[in-house]
Amino acid sequence: MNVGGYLRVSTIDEALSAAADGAMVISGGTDVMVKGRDSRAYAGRVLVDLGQVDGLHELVAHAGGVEVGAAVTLSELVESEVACAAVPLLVEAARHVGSVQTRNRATLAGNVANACPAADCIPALMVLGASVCVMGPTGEREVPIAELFRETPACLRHDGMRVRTCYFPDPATKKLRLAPGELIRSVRVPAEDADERHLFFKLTETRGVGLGVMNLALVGRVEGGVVRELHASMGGLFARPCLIDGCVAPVVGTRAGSEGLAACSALLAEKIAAESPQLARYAYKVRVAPALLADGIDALVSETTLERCVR
Amino acid sequence: MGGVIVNMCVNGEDLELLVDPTARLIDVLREDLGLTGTKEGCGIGVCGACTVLVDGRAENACLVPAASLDGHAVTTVEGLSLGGDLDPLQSAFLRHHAIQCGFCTPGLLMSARALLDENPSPTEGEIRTAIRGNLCRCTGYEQVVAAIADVAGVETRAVRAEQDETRRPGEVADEGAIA
Amino acid sequence: MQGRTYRVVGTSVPRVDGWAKVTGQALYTDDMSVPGMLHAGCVHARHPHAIVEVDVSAALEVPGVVCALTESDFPTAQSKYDWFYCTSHPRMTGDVLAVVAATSPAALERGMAAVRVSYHRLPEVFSLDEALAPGAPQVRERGVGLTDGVPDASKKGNVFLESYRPIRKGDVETGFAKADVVVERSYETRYAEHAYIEPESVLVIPRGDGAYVVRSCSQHGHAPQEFVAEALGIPMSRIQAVSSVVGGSFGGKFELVGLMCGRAALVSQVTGRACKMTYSREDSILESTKRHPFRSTIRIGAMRDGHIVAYEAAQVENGGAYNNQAPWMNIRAAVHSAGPYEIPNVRTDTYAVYTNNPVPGAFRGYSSPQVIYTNEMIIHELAHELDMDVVDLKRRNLLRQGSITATGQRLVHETLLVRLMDDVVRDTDYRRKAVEWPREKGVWRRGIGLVTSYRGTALGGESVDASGTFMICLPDGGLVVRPALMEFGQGLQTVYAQIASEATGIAFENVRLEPVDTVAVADSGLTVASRGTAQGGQSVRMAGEKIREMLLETAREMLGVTADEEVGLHDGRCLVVGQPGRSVSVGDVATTRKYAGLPLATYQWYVPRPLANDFATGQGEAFTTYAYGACVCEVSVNVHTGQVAVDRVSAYHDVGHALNPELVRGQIYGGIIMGLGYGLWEDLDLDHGRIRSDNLDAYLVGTADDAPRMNVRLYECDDPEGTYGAKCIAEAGSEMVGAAAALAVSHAIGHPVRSIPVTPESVLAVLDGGGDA
Repeated sequence: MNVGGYLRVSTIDEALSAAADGAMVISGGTDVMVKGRDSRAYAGRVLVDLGQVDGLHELVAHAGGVEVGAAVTLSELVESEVACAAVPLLVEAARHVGSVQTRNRATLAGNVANACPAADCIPALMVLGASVCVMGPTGEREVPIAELFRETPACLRHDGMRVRTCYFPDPATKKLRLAPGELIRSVRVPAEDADERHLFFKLTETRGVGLGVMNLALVGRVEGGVVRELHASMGGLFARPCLIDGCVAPVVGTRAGSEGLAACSALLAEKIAAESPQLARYAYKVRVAPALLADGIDALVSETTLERCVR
Repeated sequence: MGGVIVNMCVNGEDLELLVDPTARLIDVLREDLGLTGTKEGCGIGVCGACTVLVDGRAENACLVPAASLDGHAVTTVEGLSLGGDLDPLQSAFLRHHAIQCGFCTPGLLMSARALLDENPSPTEGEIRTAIRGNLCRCTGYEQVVAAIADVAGVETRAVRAEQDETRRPGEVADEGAIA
Repeated sequence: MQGRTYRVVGTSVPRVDGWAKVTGQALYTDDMSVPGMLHAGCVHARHPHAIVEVDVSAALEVPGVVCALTESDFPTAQSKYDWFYCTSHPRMTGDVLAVVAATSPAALERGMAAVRVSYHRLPEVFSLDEALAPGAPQVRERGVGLTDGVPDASKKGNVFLESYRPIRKGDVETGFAKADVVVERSYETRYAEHAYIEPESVLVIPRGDGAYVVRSCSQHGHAPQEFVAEALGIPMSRIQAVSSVVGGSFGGKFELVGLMCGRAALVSQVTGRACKMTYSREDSILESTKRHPFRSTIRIGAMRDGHIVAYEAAQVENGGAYNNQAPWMNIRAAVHSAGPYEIPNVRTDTYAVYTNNPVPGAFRGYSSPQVIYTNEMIIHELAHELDMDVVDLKRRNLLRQGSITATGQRLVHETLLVRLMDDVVRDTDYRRKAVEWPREKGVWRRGIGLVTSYRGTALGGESVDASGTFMICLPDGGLVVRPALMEFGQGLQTVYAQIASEATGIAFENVRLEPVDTVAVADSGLTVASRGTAQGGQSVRMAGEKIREMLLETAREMLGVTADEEVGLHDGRCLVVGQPGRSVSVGDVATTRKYAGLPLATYQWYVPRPLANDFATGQGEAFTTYAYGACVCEVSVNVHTGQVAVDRVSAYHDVGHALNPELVRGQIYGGIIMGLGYGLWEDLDLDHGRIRSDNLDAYLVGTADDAPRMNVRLYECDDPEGTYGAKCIAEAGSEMVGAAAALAVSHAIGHPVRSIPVTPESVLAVLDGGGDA
């Protein structure tokens, strides 16, 4: 790696102390290790790894949902019975990140902290109304995920949104609303209700391990064929992770027939045109995202899948 | 920058290593320990040629800071055949011709080993998902999947494909659609 | 063949190099180190065309940096293969401006970062249209112009004159005049990257007496000797090149690896230390050769009943800034330009055009993936115009035994092409699906595509397909084989061990294959054109038969056989036929010969029969024989997202004689994934001479999860040309698949696809506009 150093710490206080000194906080580090191949990214900076810190390895039930410590890997999340029962949408999203090898080291907190607009876990966290526990020099605070991210229009022009060519070696203060010296200690995710349905879809060109072109997370309630509640978020389209509940409003209270779905598509297309005109692959995304949203809602309501089984 | 002491178990041997704090696991394995079976194909954790087991889990050694492994165990391809006997997966790869240039082979073996240690009877889909992060440019994965399935004792279409016959003209053709 | 039974060839014996590969013991070049070794790297041009000033003074100040070389340090800056070891006038972004060497990889990286380059930009051209426009900047001094679509040496321009290969058979104007239907179309293909999983690596070790040993991953075992001699200006005899285990090549590890050997050798000469140069994936993609992009404009004329009477094409390649391969590659591109059909009137022109792009070279197929795509596409469009089933159209025109090809060659050997097509059409239920699937509704639309192809085996008339083998029989009955052609995953060492065992009678387990070593055999050319088994194996066979002769001569004496008694030799024993009690081991025979001072080694050189071809018309015997193939690809296309899911690929191949069926199948399975990538997933994303997909996160190689169901069927026939009847498979196994995938997609979306790769964008563009993809 091209970094100034690597600091091993075993307590959260040591980690905070290092962060206050300007160390780059990592957990798992799969994104940073890739960005660190560029010698300019972390020159003179020390990496402090939360992966060895006591108390951050736990995934526990919390207020009906789960609290995922910063050192919990995506594999551990996917294998957790507690998580599978409480937040199956998040588990489904996590399953789509990278390869087995990536998921065995990468963490949920790290996925959030990297704040890539095309990340797979973030749209799921958005629709589930998650929050992060932040620790820093001034103490602890809980931040709803919807308020965690800054708008970074530069990312829209980033073709492919790949971590290797990411414009932000250190997203902590540039892409997240964290103060210097703050770090994410855990992610809290409320449980999905027993009668809620969810859908996660990642659009890719191959079944390779990279980022998707775009992704879709839906959670909602359907009773007697009628959509009662629906939350949606899509990655790979906007300068800041966001809910697109406004775009799906036309189908709420309806059976999500073709007219309502077309209205949702139109709203999303408008939103992309208004907010992301400089998006790389704009022509493709502005055409496909609305169709994907409609197909996704339809699949949610009819309890089918968007996946195409090859075998 | 001074080195850090890392107590790591590598292929069953407890080692105390002085490593550069910025070294990747792949660098320590190849340069310091001479374990060159683990290969670098991309440096960004996509090709999987550097897959090793860390505490039994498949990970890309090019993305693991060596200094983070104090107190942990690493298994490389060299560790699969300790004592001289081949691991059943290694034998199966040989039997099924699952190797061509061989550069991706160590990584594939480690991913397969991790899979079967955790899930001894995977479906074909689970096998393919487990090795999705191991890129191979030579084999097309068919004989690789057959080899892994063979060790697991499960049926896959890849195993059935090996029954395709070589045919001479004039011999009666196998009529009918292919399954 | 002809009813002969074999003992070793024809069976799927395990690989001789398998154990080393599964245990991680196999040594690839980067796995090797020597004491005091330096690590070297190259600073590449950031702009495609410029004059540069390179300042290495800061680099030399970096602790650990031992030397930094620029163009003036190189005795020969430009290789005879057209590329530059080091230049101050880069013509593409892969050009090397400086070579830095340091005591550690970390110091090397800091050293390279400290090299200062100032660029004085020069005019650039990238597309064919830009390069061929009147008054376009001259990329290379040697470029010429065009007159009536044919290169004209009297004009200046960007056409690479030596790459021009015409075919003139019959008279196309007469043909078009009588044709009932004439279809004219243009098709494009794009750059593709080999993406072998092992990045390039070379290691040069000085021997202290002005001589060097070179270890590398070159696809041509002898090439490093030639390149290093050239780069240093020293006699070739002072350089020994020994091949390492190679992690895949597919045609790519030749020019770049040779240049790297030259660069590392100069570092070695200047510093007196060993020097290793291993490229990162980014550097590999940046500088290594690529597949030539083709733009083919084709006019085809047929009668109502489907007989094709005229075929005319201009096959124009984007040749990049330097080009070594097009003159040879275009022989194949021209020979196969009209496809596997018997057409009386053919006029095609094939040539490359210089641009400031990265450099194309040899890549599995050597123009066949491009030519097959363009040819098969227009055949399907012709079928559509004729309102005729493409299977019937093909059957009317496909080559058969006795047919005359586009080069006027009569196919004298068994020709299974129609049989392969009929079988795959039947087995995949092609006709029914071709009619029914377009009627389906829904977001996922299914499509099916059929390709038939032929491939000239080995080098043919491109160059002399000669090769040599050195063999030693040891006193314990073992056999050492020193081949001239390379193993890089395809299984050549294993097949050679089989051939050697078959020919000598020594047991397969006792045959040892050694690396290609310049001190052991003479240069037998590159291991390309799928020649390794069919042609390269001939010298292995000859050497084996010579060893057998020697052993039998002595065995007869030792067994005291009479004139009418026959001695057999197999599985390491010489025995009197019919009297198994009278036998002697090969070891005893060899020991006897040793003490009698009789030879136990042989060097055999194989030269194929000469093939005569006329340059001006391309007429003549282009190849000794041809291999045939048929492929059907079935896909599902999502009409909302443009995604293509490949459901099944059926690949039927005539391989002459499968000397190791499992190895052959492995080549086809791998070839299918690579072919699908070429047709669908792999996009280098070239932007004004800069490659944007410069690692495997962006250049998408198929994964185990992308693999479709694959049905592979091998066919054999009686063909005497290749070793023990073998033809070829390495390139045949991949060349049809991209075209088949593109055809399947076009069937699914109901419109021709006129450029590949077929990306989701291009699928939607075709669906939206009904226009050309």
